[in-house]
Amino acid sequence: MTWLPRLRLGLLIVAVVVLQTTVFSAGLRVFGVTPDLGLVLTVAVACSWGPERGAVFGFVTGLAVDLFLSTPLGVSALSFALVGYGAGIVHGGLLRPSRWTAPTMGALAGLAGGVLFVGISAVAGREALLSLTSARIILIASVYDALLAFAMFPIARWATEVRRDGVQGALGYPSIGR
Amino acid sequence: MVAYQRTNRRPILVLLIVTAVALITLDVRGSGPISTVRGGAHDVVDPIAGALDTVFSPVGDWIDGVTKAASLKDENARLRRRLDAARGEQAAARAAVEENKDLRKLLDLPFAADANAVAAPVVEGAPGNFELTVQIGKGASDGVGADMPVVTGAGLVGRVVEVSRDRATVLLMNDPQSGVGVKMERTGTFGVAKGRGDTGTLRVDFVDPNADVTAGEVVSTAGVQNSPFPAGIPVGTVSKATRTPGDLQLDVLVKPLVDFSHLDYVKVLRTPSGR
Repeated sequence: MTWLPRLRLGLLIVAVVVLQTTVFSAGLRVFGVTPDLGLVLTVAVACSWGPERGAVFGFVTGLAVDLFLSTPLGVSALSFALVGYGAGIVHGGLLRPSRWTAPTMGALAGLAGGVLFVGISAVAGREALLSLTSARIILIASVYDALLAFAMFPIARWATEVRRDGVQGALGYPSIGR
Repeated sequence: MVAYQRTNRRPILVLLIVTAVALITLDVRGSGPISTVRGGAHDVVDPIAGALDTVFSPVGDWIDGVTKAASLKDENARLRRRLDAARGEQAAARAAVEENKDLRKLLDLPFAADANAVAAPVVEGAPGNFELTVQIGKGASDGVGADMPVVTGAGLVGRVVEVSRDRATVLLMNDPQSGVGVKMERTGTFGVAKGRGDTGTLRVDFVDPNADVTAGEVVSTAGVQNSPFPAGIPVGTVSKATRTPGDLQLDVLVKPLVDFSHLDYVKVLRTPSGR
């Protein structure tokens, strides 16, 4: 793996964390809910790079997001890693990706990631998160994630591109839409 | 079907899971280095946040206007009615304030409003969906420390939980993680008020099941030993007190005096118990 994709992904993580903690938390809320930018990006990377790298990327991204949350450090990291791993496996089993694969994966990631986050937080002592309010938040966030997936997947594809001759499929994971 | 090479995936995933669980355990137990790293991350991001907020806040206001148009109209009408009622009560309140000041001087009681405090703007909401916090634009460089109480003119907002150089994170009273010892002003009954998320009320636990608590009663901080909250800060008014036969405590719900969804400026009380 060359250094260029790593650099791009590193910059993407920084950009996603900054946007999540500033722009989306301050103003771009829909019915009081913010999207899970880091989670959608993790799924997009997992679809391009596979479950192992998706899990590692999710772990690092989740850890960066955790630095700005009041929940215990590691909760987002674990949630994102598991969702990234699962997304990589699911995408690897797809017969033929379509234009709706990105928003579908984004929505499913939002649902799975939200449920995992709430569950892991409850085990870590935040039992109050197990409520109907959390369920409502997860549903709204997953719709928001699906919309953002339209933009995040092409960005992830650009960031993970190894060579410009379209031979990224050497890893066995063709990009969405190709 | 996409062909892919099967590799031994499990060690990587297991390592990530073990690392995450270790970090969660350390943070739950209160690890100092993790707090330091969090503060450092805020110090890096906060200047960028200020610049981005200037650019994107009009967009956020537009989205709010679209999604909340109906509720904004209702709120406008409700606030106009409240303003009319408040004007009528103003004269009576002035007399009560003066009498209160004289009595406190006589009794030499500490009062929250006299505490060393710093005013701070609320600059951002919570970065995640499962916490009720706000970011304020004052930090360690302004004397703000962890566990310091945060108030507005209406009453208790919450307490500081994270501090960086120029900003701080305030855990709001309606967050389920929040808890404060309170006292019913009329009867002196004690309890612990805890947040109930976006339900609009706080729950008061450990209230004597035989206590005489009525709706409308003012609830304020009790200032118990080792509490970061000094006594006398208004918290809310009792909205419901239910006595169920056989229960070990009275079910008390309190409506907060502070509107947590409309915080613009707050005051951080720089109490000695803050770190």
